[in-house]
Amino acid sequence: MENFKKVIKRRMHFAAGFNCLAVVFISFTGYRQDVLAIVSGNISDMIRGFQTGVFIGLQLFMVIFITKYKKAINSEDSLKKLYIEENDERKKLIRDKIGGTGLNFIIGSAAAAVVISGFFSETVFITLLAVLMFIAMVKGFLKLYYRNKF
Amino acid sequence: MRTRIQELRKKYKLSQEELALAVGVTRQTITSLECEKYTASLVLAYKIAKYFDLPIEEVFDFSEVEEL
Repeated sequence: MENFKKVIKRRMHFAAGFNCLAVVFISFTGYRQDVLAIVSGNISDMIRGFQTGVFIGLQLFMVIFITKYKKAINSEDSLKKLYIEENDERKKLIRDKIGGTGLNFIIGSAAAAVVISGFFSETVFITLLAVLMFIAMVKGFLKLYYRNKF
Repeated sequence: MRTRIQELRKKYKLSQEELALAVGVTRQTITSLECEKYTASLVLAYKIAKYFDLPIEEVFDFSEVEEL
């Protein structure tokens, strides 16, 4: 359990670090549009709104994770429950069946590509966004299917 | 795979949650085992049998496997 506690602490640091980066990104894209205009011309409001929305959404997720992890660190029962939740063999099987790790990596990369492409081309942005949504939907359907199967 | 988990649980007046916590899995895994949707790994089968203080073959029905 001590090792798991260390892993949880590391994740909390990562989440806090990500939140700081997100704040920098949101403030930069919100207030320094003059700098961005040099790179991307006149970036559409829809894209800027999407980028800000993604980062705010991710920040909320990180805050939820940090709260959950803090609770787990302070109570042995919660820590055990969280450990079981993450290491349950049926869940691991489902994750393996849908290629969870690989899909998560693809979704993360596609999301980063969507945000970056937003600065350069609206067409590429929308195409990548459609791809990202399709992958996320496939993952969701597969997860539902295997949860019902096993 | 057929199991006697539900029967044993009722005998010892255990909830799925309590058994799950004792053997280190989620409640849903115990449900799946009882509904014969999921086959336990060797380690989980061992833990469950040990928890009820019974040999594995008395908790899990291996007749389907023996037929192969």
